Amino acid sequence: MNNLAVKATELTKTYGEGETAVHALSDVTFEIPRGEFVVLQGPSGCGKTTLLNQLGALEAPTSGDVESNGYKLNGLDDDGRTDYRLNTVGFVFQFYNLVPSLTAYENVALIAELTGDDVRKRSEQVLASVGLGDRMDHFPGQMSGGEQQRVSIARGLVKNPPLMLCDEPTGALDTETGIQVLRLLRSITDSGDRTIVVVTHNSQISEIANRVIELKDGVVLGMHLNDDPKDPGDVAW
Amino acid sequence: MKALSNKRRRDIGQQKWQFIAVIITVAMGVAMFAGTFNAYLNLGTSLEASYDRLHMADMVVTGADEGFVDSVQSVEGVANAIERRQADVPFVIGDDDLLGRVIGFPGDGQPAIDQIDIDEGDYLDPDAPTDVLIEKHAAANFDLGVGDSFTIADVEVTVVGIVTSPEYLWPARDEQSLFTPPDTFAVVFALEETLDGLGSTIALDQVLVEYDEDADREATDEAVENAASAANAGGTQVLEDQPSNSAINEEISGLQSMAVAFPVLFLSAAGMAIYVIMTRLVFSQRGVIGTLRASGFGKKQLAAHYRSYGMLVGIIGAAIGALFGGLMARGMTALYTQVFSIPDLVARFHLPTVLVALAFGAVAGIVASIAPARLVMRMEPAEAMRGDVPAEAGKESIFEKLLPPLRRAPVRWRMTLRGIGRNMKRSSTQVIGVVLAMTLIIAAVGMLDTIVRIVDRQFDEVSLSDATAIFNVPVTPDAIAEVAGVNDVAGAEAVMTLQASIKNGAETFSTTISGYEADTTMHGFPEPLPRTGILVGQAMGDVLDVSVGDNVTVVLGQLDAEITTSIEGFVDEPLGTVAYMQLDTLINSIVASNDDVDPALLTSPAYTTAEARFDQGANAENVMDRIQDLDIVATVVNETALRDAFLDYQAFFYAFIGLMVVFGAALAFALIFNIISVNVAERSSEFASMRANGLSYRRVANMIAGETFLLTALGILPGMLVGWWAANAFIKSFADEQMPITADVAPITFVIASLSMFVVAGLSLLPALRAVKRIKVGEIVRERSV
Ligand SMILES: Nc1ncnc2c1ncn2[C@@H]1O[C@H](COP(=O)(O)OP(=O)(O)OP(=O)(O)O)[C@@H](O)[C@H]1O
Ligand SMILES: [Mg+2]
Repeated sequence: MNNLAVKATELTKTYGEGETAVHALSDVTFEIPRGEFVVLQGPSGCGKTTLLNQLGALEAPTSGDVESNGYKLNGLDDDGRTDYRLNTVGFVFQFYNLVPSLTAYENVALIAELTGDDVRKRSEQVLASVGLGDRMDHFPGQMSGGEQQRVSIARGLVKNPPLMLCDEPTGALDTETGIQVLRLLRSITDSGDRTIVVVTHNSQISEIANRVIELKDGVVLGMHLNDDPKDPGDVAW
Repeated sequence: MKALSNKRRRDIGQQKWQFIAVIITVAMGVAMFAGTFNAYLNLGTSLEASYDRLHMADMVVTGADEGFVDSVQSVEGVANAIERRQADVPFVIGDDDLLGRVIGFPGDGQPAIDQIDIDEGDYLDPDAPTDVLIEKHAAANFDLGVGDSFTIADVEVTVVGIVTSPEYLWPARDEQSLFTPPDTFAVVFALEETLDGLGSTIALDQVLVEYDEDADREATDEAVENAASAANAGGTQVLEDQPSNSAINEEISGLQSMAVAFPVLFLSAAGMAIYVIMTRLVFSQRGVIGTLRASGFGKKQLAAHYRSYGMLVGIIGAAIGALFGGLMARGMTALYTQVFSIPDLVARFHLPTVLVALAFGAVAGIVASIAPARLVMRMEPAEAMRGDVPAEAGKESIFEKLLPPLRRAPVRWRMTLRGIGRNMKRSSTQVIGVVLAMTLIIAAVGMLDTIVRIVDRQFDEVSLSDATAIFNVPVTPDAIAEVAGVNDVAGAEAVMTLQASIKNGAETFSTTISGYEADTTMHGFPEPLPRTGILVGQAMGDVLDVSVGDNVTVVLGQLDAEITTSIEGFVDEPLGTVAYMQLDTLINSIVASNDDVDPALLTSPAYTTAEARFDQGANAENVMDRIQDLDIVATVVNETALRDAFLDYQAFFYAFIGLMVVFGAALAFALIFNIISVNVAERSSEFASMRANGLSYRRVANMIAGETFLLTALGILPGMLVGWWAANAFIKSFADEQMPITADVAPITFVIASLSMFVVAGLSLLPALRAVKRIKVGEIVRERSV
């Protein structure tokens, strides 16, 4: 396996046709090495979510391709994409999207069951690692936003995916809780074999990343590396 | 308000299939009401009109003393009374031998009571005693036209007219045989002189009584009955018990219960569907509602806005339904008046029915929207700011609590179980929908099952003979032996049947009494016939309020005899409530009771016949022909004709069952489809996030299907119980003392009803699963959860 986590080649995504066509992504090309904490930033409507959805194979591209962890995403059918997501990607959404009728533990176990044995042990471990060891039997309705977001991170992590994709994970959280969640996400890359891509329109957050990809109007404006990423607690936002 | 009505139009447009399903359900309910209720009203009015015009008798008294016809006229409430005679005699029409009925009519014009319509030909000619008028059912069945001839008791007669009689709109021989097989019965009207010429026949003397228009029916009935009893009458029959009238009235009252039951089912289903859709709509628009409230809209104004959705849908459905119902009513009335050959077709357009139907639809819509609109009233402007749906309180499902090992089942199974508890109201709505649909199917199909079972019991357990021979000579043992000796006849027995009024104190039950051989093989009895005493139908026992050992009086009007005997047991027979004795005991009791009875009279072929059983595998028609060919036999009646006629209708029965299953399925579909659609729409972000995390479409679909089928399963048992109860209630509306039927739903009906519910649930799932497949995961995850 090479040490590239993600490689996007001339990726283009157009919504609609003719007059009303929106070019959400135009000829986007970049590479992300394994083990990095990457921030994808840009103004609202520039195509961040669209790009993330491409990396996660949630939508088919109009043209171009993404290679990720041995999968070539263009050309996969629905089953192939499901398979890719199951084995490779953990998602964290801005609005958590937990299943309200399942407890924290069960929300995580639902995914754990699909990816191997030891469901209980793995689920409990990952919940403990996000600091929810004592909240496992609570339903989403009984938890704060930050706690719910941590459950959704645990749900993404439990299958031990090489790639985590997070769309505005702190968007609905206050500063204090946001910092906790960012620390948690940062720690995911500590082992060096997990890559994480975080979407944000908050340029401050980019200071904690190894790599920042700047997006505007569907094209990559630039990409730079931080030699010395800050600790989430030191970022003013 | 223009903007609000635009909003309403677009909201409805967004969920057009759900609303269309509701509109169709409302329309079906309203159409059934408008159609059936109108038909019910029209049928009643038409019947009344014919009775009035043709002076249908309000009471028929048989065998009263001379002079009764004059004395009864002075009874309060009586308008008129006439005398008439009728006789049941063997007819030979073409190849058919049957026991027909001849009714004596005056030569100088129609009688004052029980007149007839002459549909074809002319009235009787006083100088042509071989002319007859034939009742139209018989004319149609035997294909007789004016100018055709046939034989009545060896006399050749000619049809001069085809007529409709108010007494035979439904051609039944008597109260005990409301279902008289058409090949075994015919009615003709002939001159008294013709009647006299029919040889040994014993004619029945009748007095027909007509009441004043405004007479108190019950009081007059009682007064006339008392007068008749004082005049030693053999029997009385009020209009209510008149066989044709009572058959038609049963049907009319069945129509009435249908007119109410069907619409109630459909409108409830539609109402529940509206409730489900509107609750979800209001919930998903709580942000909008909050914003509108913040901008100055009043609570009531917004509540009314959401109520108007239901009302609009209700009114549209009702309008469509009323239109179809109006057309249906015309057709149904025409069909029914034709089936019952009611000559006066009063097919009025009952505007009130249509208005009531419209109102039903609108009210169903409004009532269903009340709860969702209440929800609107409770929403505060601050909701707009909060925006997102308050997280539902999750909880363990009841299944997991009851069955703790379920806690170790995979989470996606448990999720299915909990999906049911997530919105209890919606889930119970689906369960109730299944119950309603099953009720409809089981009640309708159960009614047919009951009829099938009655026919089976009647012919497998009760009436065991294949044919009855009616003689033209005194019925002696030799005559019976001659029938028994016919090739392929397994056995023949003498059976005596007499009109009887059975009395216990003030209670009287008019029926027939039959005398069978002690060890008869022609009729099935629960235990051998007792040597003395009488067996009576269970319903008769209830009316007379007697138990085993009690004495009753049996009045035999035809023989002027009255015997006292004891109740020895009860029989439970599906068709008719009659009495039985051992033949010898019956004859001896009659002779002992009245010295004037000529023992020779008892061998009259009018009272005694031979019932015969054929060898297994014999060709029934050929055997009947051979019996017919005996010189001593006047006619042979096919005892299994009713079953044959019934078998002929089988295709029709299956069509009816099919129709009811379709109706029930449509009802269930409208509800289940809406519930699943709403469920899927509400949870799209949840499904999208599961899909994003690697659950395949198939897994998500299985979860949704699991929920749907589980809820359907929960409705099955209550559906069976309520359906069985409804079948009973429905059957009861057709039952009476003479035919005390109870529902008898076949097990297969429960199976069919249950399976059809699962099929419907599966079908309702398809559009929803297609929607799940089409969920744009990438799009939904970028929105806040809805
Ligand atoms: N289904 C769609 N049809 C048409 N246009 C779309 C669709 N989805 C997204 N777009 C457009 O594509 C562009 C990029 O959208 P995207 O959601 O990726 O933006 P974003 O960078 O994530 O913005 P935000 O920070 O506000 O979330 C926008 O102009 C958006 O309007
Ligand atoms: Mg976005």
